Amino acid sequence: MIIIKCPFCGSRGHNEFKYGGDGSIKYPDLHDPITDWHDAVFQRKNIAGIQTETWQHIHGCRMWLLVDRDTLTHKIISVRPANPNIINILEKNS
Amino acid sequence: MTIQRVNKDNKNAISFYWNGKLLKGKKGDTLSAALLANNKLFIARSFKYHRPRGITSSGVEEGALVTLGKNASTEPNVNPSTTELYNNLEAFSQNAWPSLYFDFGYILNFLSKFFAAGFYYKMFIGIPPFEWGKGTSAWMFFEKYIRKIAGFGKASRQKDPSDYDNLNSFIDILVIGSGPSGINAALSASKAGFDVMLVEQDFELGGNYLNHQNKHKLNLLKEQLLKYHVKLKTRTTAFGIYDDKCVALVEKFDPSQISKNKIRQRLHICRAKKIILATGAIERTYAFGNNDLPGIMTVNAGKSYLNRYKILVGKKIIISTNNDSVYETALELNNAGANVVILDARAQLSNSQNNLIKNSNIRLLLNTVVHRALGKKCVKLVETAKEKNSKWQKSIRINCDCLLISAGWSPVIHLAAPHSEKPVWSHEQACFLPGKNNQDIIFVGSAAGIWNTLNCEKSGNIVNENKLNQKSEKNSVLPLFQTPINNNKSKNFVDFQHDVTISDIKLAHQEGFTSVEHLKRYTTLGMASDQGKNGNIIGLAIMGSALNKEINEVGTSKFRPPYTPVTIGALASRNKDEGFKLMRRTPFHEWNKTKNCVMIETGLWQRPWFYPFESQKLEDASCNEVKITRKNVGICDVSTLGKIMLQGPDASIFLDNIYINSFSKLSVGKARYGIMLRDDGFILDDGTVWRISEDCYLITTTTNQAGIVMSWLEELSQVRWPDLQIHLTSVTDQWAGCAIAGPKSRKVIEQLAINKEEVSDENLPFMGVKKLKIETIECLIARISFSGELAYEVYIPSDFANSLIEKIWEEASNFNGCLYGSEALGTMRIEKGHVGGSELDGRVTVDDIQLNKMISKKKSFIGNTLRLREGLIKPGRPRLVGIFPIDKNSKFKSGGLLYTSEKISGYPIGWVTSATYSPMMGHYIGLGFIENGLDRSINEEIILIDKLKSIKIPVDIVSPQMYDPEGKKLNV
Ligand SMILES: [Zn+2]
Repeated sequence: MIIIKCPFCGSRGHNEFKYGGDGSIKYPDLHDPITDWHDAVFQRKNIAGIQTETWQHIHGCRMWLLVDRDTLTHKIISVRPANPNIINILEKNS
Repeated sequence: MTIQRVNKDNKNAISFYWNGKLLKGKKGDTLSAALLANNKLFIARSFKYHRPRGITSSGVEEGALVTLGKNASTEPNVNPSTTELYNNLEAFSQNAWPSLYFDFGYILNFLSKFFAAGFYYKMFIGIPPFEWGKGTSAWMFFEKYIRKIAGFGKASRQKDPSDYDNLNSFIDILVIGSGPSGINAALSASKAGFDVMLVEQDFELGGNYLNHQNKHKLNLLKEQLLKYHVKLKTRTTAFGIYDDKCVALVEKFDPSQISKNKIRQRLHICRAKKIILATGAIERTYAFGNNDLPGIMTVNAGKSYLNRYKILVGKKIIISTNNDSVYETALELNNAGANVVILDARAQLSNSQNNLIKNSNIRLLLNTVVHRALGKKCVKLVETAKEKNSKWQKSIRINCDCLLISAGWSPVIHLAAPHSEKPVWSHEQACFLPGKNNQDIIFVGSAAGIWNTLNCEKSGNIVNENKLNQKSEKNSVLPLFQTPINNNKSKNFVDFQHDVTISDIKLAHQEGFTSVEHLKRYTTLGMASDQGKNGNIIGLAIMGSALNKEINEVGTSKFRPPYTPVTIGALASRNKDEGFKLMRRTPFHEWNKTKNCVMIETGLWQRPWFYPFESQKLEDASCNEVKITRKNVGICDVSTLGKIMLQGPDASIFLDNIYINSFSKLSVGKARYGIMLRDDGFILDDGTVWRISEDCYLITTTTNQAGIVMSWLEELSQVRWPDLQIHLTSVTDQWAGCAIAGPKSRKVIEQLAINKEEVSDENLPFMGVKKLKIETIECLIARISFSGELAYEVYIPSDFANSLIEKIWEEASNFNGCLYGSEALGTMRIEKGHVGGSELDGRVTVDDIQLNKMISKKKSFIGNTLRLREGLIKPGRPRLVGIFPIDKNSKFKSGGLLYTSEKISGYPIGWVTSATYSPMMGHYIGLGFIENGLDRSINEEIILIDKLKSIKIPVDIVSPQMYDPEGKKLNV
C-alpha cells in the first residue's frame, strides 16, 4: 500500500484516497473548440517514470491533490493541493 | 528405514489421527516429526504419477502434502513439516485412491510419456496427426478422468466455519526470522531504543538455533528479548512486502487453544520504517534417479529431527553433499548411533571438516555423488557415481535406510524480490544473492549469504554500522544440480510437488522454450504450493546446461507473494457476511421495519422495497401500492437520494456550468429538474435543484451516483474553477426525505401545515419550494413529482425523522393512503417514461433520451462541446421509447434485445432497459432504446428476444410517456 502525505491530514494509506486522473491536463474553457476538448479529455501519455496525478482524500479532508508519482517504483515525489489558491495561502503561512 | 525417538519417555504425549488411525506424538512435534516417530515414512502419492512420497524436509520446502481436518474444516495441501501437532489433530494422505498402499493411479507412472511437459497445452490443441490444430475433442473426453486422478487435495465445498481477524500496526523495525541473525538484529535495535517486532513462522522462536544440540545460547537470548521488550510473534509468516514497506503477515493461533467459534488466524498489516530479512536459507537437493523415494530428505532435516525432535531418521544413513555444512550433522548422527557414510562430490576436504570426523567411524567417499536410489516404498540401496580423471562413472552400491542430501543452500530472498533488482548468481557460493532494493530492506545472516552461526550472529548487529559484516563470505561448494551420468531408465525429479523431471525440462528446451518464464509455465516447474523453493534452481541449472549458459544468464523467474500459502479466509478476515461492506440505513429505517417493510440493497443502502400486507408477494404488494398511490396517496422513503448544499455568491454560475439547463434565472423558492454531463458529453446524473435563497441551493442526485457527483463537483470547484466563490457540503445524512404522492397528497400536507393556505396551489405551485413547519420542526418541502401524480418531497432533519414520519403516516392513513417502496416507485416512473439508473448507464446522451429541448443555448456547460461529436449526433442512434407487448398477456424483463422480424439474430437494433407489470395498463410495459426511436415505420414488426429467459415476443414501440401523457394528474 502506498503512503500519501496529505498536506492537510498527514501521512495516510492510499486506501483513504481516490485516484483522479492525469494532473498535468489543463482543461479548456467551456467555449473552446472541440479539438481542444478532444485532446484534453482523450489524449493521455503512458509515462514510464514520474507523472503528475490527481488524487482526492476522499476519506479525509476531501481535498483534491496533485501527486507526482513514479510509475515504475510507485515512489511518491511530491504532494500538494490541486487548488492553486490554497497553495498560495499555505506558502504565505509557512 | 528404522526410525526411533532418542528419548523414549512418555512425557507430553499427544494423540492424533493419521488416515483415521490413532497415533501418539509429543507436544512440540510437527506433524512430520510425529509421523516419522511412528515410522510413517511413506505418506503421500505424487501429483501426476502417483508415486510413493515421504517427508523430504523439516520446513517450508517440503515436497509431500497432506490434508487436515474433515468436512467444512478440511484444509487440503498442507505442509506437514510446518504443521504444529495438537491433540486430536486429524490428517489424511491425499491423491491416492482407493488407498495409500494400493493406489490405482500408480499406473500413470508407466504412461508418463503422455504426461510430459506441455501435456495440457498439447491436449488443448488436439492430438497429432488427426486433430492437430483443430481442437480438443481428446481433452473434452479425458478431462474428467484426468481431473479425478491428477491433482492435489480436495477443498471442502462447505463454508469455512472459522473466523479470522485483521490488525494494522506501525513499528520502527520489523525483523523477519528469529534465527541467529534475526534474534541478534532484534536485540541490537531494541537496545538502541527502537520499537522492534520479531516475527517467526515457526511455533517456536530460534530458527536454526532449534536445530543445534546445545540450546543454552538460545535460552539466554530469549531472556534478553523479553528484557528489552521486543514484540514477539511466533506462528507468524511474513508472506509479502508491498509498497512503502507495508508487510503482510499472517498469524496463526495456537491450534490447541482454538475451540469452536474462536478466531483461527489473523491478517496483520504492518508498516515498518525498516525491514530486516533474517529469513535464512533453504538446503537444496539435486536430481538423480528415483530421488523422490521415501527415506530421502535434506541433511538439515536429519539434523533437525535429531536435535529438535529427538528422532533419529535411520540406522544406516548415507549423506550426499557438495559443501561443508553436513559434517557436524554427520557426527551428531553418528554419535546418536547411526552408521554414517558421507559421499562428497568434492575432491578434497578442508582440515576442519577432516578433523571433525577424524575420530569417528564415519566413512567418507570423495569425488562421489548419488546416481540412482533404489527401493520400492523406501530407499534401500544407493548407486553411486565417481569421478576419475575428470570422467564420471558408475561406482559402488551401498545399502542404507535413509539418504540425506545437501547440494548447497539457497538464501531466502523471496520477500524482497518485488522491490529489488534481479537476484545475483554467485558462482562461488552456488546460490542467488539478493539484488539491490529501493526500500529499506536489509538482509542479515544466511539470507545474505553468510553461513556460519557466529558470523550470522554478528551480521545481526545492525545498529553498529559495521558494514563489513554484511558481506557474504566464501563457501567451499561445488555446484551440483543433477547426477553427472545420463539416466533415462528412472525418473530424476526436479519439482516433487508438480512431478517435473529432468526429461520434462529437456523436452521443453527441445520444443523451443528457452526463457525461464516460459519454461516455468510449460513444464509447471515451481508452480505448486511450494512455488519451487526446492526445485527452481535445479531446473534453471538444467535449462542452463541445455542452453550452454550459466545460471545467471538464464536468470530466475520472479518471486511473488505469498511466500507460503495463505488461507483465503485470512485475507478476507472480517470482510465477510455482514462485515463485507458498509451498511447505510435511512433515518426511517427502524420505523419502516415496524411497518412490515421488506428491504433491498441498493449500493450500500438498505432501502424499502415493498410493504407486503401479511404474506403478499412482491408484485401483488407493489401493484397495490401503485394503485392506492395513484388513487389516494402514498408515502415513500427517498432519504437515499444524494443531497448537496451549494452556497456562495458564485453558486448560480457554478450550476450554469455543470447543468445543461440554466439556473441563474431560477427564482428563490423554486426547483428545477437538471441534467449534468461528463466532460465527454454523456449523461452523468440527473436530479432537482432547489433555490433556497439568493446564494444557497440544495442539489439532489440519484442514490447510486451521489458519491461520484459529490467528488466530481469538489474536483470542479477545487481544480478547474478555484476562483469561483462557492462551498459544497454533503447533507445526505442530515435530511430524511419522504415523497408524498397522489391526488390526495395536498390534503395530507394541509393537515400537517400549521396554516393550510401555506401549501395551497397558489402558494406552493408545481416546482415550488418552501420551508414548512411540521409540529415545531422546520422542514423543507418542494412540490415535485417522480410518479407523475400531484406530489411533494418533504425533507425532515434526521433527528426528528421517526417522530414526524409517524405523524405524516397518521394523516395519510386518514385518506386511505399507503406506504410504497422502490418497486412501486420504479413501476410508476416507468409508466411515466422517467429515466432511471438503468437508462442513464453512462453511454446515453441528452439526445438519446429526447430531452434536448432542455439544453440552454445561451451558455456553455461541461460536456457541451464533446456531446456534439459526430457519432453522438448521427441520425439513427438508438433513442428512448416505450415498449408494449402485442399479446397483452405476455411477460418480459429488462435485458431483452430488439430485432425487426426480418433479422432476428446478430447485432440488435435496440434493447430493453426497464420492464414492469403496469397495474394502470393491465399488462407488462417497458422502456428501452431502439434505432431511430419513435421515427421508425409503424408497419415494421419488432421482436423482443431474451435468450436467457427464453422469451420471444412481438412488441409495439410506443411513446415513453405511457401513463397520463398530458401530465394532467400533476395538477389535481
Ligand atoms: Zn487530507
